Amino acid sequence: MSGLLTVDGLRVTYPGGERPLHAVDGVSLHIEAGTTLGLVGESGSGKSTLGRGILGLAPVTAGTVRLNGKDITHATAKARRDLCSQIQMVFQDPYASLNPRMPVGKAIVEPMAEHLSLSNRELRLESGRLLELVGLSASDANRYPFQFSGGQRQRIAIARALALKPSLIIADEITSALDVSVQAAILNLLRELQRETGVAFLFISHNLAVVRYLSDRIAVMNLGKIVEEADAGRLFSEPRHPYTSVLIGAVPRVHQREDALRPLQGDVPDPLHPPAGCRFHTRCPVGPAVRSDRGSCAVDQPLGESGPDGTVACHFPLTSSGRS
Amino acid sequence: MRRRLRGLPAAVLSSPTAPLALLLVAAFVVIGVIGPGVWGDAAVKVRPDLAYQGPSARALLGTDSLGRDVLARTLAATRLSLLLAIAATCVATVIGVPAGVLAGLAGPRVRRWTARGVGLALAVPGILVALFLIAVTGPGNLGMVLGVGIGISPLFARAAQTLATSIAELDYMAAAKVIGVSRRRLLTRYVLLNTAEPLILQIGVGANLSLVAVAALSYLGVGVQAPDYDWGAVLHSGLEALYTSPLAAITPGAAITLAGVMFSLLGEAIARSLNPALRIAAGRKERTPRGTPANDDAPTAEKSVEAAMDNAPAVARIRGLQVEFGHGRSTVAAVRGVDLDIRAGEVLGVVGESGSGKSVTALALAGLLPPSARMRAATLEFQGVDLATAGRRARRAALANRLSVVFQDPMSSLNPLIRIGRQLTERVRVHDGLDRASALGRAEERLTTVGLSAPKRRLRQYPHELSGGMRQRAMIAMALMSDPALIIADEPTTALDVTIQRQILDVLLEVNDRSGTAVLFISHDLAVVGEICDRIVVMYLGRIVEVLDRAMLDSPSHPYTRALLGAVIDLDTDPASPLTTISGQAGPSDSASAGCPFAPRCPEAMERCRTEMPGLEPEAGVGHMVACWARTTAPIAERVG
Ligand SMILES: Nc1ncnc2c1ncn2[C@@H]1O[C@H](COP(=O)(O)OP(=O)(O)OP(=O)(O)O)[C@@H](O)[C@H]1O
Ligand code: SF4
Ligand code: SF4
Ligand SMILES: [Mg+2]
Repeated sequence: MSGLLTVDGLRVTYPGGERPLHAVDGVSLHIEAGTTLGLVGESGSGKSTLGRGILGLAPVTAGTVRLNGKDITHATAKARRDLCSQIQMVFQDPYASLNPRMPVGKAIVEPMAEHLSLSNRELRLESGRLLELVGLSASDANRYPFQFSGGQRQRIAIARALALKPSLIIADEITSALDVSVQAAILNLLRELQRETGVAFLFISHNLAVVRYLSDRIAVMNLGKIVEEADAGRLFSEPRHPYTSVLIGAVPRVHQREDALRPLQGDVPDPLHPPAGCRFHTRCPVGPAVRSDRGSCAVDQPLGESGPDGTVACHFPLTSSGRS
Repeated sequence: MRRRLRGLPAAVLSSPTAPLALLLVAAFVVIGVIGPGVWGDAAVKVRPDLAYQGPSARALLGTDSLGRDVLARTLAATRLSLLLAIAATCVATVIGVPAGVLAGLAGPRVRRWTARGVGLALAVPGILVALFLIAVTGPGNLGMVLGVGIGISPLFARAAQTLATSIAELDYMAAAKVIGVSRRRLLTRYVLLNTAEPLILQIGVGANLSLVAVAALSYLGVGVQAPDYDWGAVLHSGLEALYTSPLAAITPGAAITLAGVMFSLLGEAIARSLNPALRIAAGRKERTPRGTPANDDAPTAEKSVEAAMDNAPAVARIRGLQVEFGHGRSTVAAVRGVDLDIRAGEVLGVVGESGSGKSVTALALAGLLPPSARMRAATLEFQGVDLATAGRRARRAALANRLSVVFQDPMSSLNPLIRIGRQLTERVRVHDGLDRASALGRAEERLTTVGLSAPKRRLRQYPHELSGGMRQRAMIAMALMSDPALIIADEPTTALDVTIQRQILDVLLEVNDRSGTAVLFISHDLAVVGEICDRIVVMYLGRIVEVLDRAMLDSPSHPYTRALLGAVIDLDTDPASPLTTISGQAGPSDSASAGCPFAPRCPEAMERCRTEMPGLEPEAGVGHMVACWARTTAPIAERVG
């Protein structure tokens, strides 16, 4: 495959006092140009770290990241600056990601001022255009971040990411802090932008409904590993991994359905000490804690089995009837 | 305090000397009340011819120098004697105890100096102080009471100071200071409650002393003035003939002694009753806050559940709430006239975009508005206490135990430097005066309630050692510590994973179910609100635009609610079609006009909408209210998703 982004066996390790933490532990994924890969998983599963690892913002200790076939895993600082025009990132916290002392119009065109030689007038026009692109008004350019709501700040951050017309935007929980109405507008915006500019997204979110709406393919992450990857439609209609099914079942909805799997009680295991074997086995509703004949789950680590309809890392994947 | 004293009668009785104390108290009270009426006439009947007579049928204990009945005089003098002693004791308490406590809690320098001052004051006999004051005020009751009170007060001050100093160093005082307990509260809830037992003993002794001092002054002729008389005066007129007719002096003397014994025994019995072990044992039935009939101002959880079943009284009533931020030109009206009832035991959802005033409304109710906010309200009632008019103290008392808040970001509302256990127990220890062990016990129980594993270990951990979901559950456990009547949950799951969100929602619902705690659930997510709330309030730009039951969420009336619903993304949303959005954006400019604030974005806006503000009017459905000129109950034709 010759996609836009190919990640192979990526491992990101945070050095720690007690022992190093493999926040991302052997992840492979693939994004085609102009498409959206959704990345879901619980807090601490390593979604953000994966995104940062791709950008070299987190310590990658193994594996490769290739953009358009070119290895950028350990790109130099200078090379990274050039990558800016190809990969951009929008962060989770719109309050932390904007310089509070800079008018937003200026902040948005900062990357342009860095990379392109544009006159002040052109920059002003660009900032106005970008602001309007994300649903704000050009006259907002002179205001400071604190004068905007969280949703507006996130729009500003998106505008900034769009400035250099990148081919991939890593969007980390960018709608988590937003109102539903604003979220809907931003999701529509992302789609429109994708249609217009052909930008690809790595859309990281813990909100499955949002990921489902936006993504072509979806990867489900648990404790540093991708447990299932599939076409968005298939993943939701026929989840193969019990963890995927559990996540889907937990999504709140006005009319709650009772047929989904519920996780076993208990906390998300400490990522520093992930369970042996399948990392989900302590909470798996169809795993060894429930089925005595599935003791192997606690011993053997399931490897991602690629099939025609995606990858699943489970010894006993669910069948299409919903039960394994 | 009230709760603390509830077990008192029972505990008083459990003291071994209690029967005697009570007997004496009863006797003195009866004699004090009826004394002047019954024996008053006999007491003042002067018969010089019958002076210094022995006991006879007419005067059971003989007569004094003027031939008056000694017994009748002694009995009739009871009321005044006791009242004077009690008054003097009160003066001494009011002066001595606060002075001593403050000195005990002050810094080392102040403490040293006041200790010296008190020591000096103690060296001066109280009676001399009293004589000096009487010299200033002239003979009479007022001067005497003040004089004796002031004279004895150093005794109380010394006792209070010693006691306060001894507990000032203890851990729970340090903890209270760390969490910013007000000085007042520190005094009443910590120092006074913990020193009450020995202090009351001391006061009993002090009352005894005042009694003797008052009698002495009257005896000396500078106290109670004729025609009034107390035991001292009775003693005075009997003492001349002590050797020939001793009963005339012995009778009032005996009364003084008995009254003194009564004061000491009473002090002892009350002090005993404040001993928590005894109090709890004696008052067990009444100790729990639930279902205590005497607790009139606080409808309890159990009551609330019952009530919710019949006519659902409001835990909170808000009328005409307005909140503004900023000054002058940059004033932002965050809440513009909100009327809202939160019914006991219900789960009430508040939805609306950011900036619609959801949180500010809740913060106003919780008394947590930042100082920059200006609030006005016709009524802001929590459990029957109008917070808008109540003083700071009353407000604090009303909210302290019965209202809890869970915020969106658990990390910012937990103190990173303090262990979970301490943070969970602070409030109950401050407000309920729970001791460390039982507070920790309760914390462990609450952590279990919210589904945290290994609760004992959690208590010793710091917030950063917990995951986000665990922290949020710890926050809910903290909110549950004092059995609140209302939990305000402000976007409590927004920062959490679906699986954790599911757990948190389950926990909130279970708490609501089990203990009837009302929940005010604030969220921008209609899917969550629609799933867990009984009733839903929709806010737009500081106003309520629709109130509806969950059942009606499929077909809301207000165009804004419909738009919100259309924007909800759930697993049934069609990924192929664009999401319904609300055109334009909410901004202060929208509300500047006189008309409906939603008019600039409303697809159904009419001419009238731009000039007239629609009020919140009842609709067809039960409890359904809508503020819209084009209100309609027709189902939404083309809801996306
Ligand atoms: N700078 C860091 N140093 C050490 N450990 C870190 C660091 N950043 C993240 N981690 C750890 O790495 C693991 C993965 O974290 P990450 O932020 O990638 O999770 P996530 O899936 O994005 O979670 P969320 O949904 O909460 O954003 C966690 O255990 C986290 O504690
Ligand atoms: S490998 Fe076993 S424990 Fe793991 S998800 Fe599959 S069934 Fe559950
Ligand atoms: S009053 Fe008019 S503008 Fe306001 S919501 Fe109703 S129809 Fe729309
Ligand atoms: Mg993250």
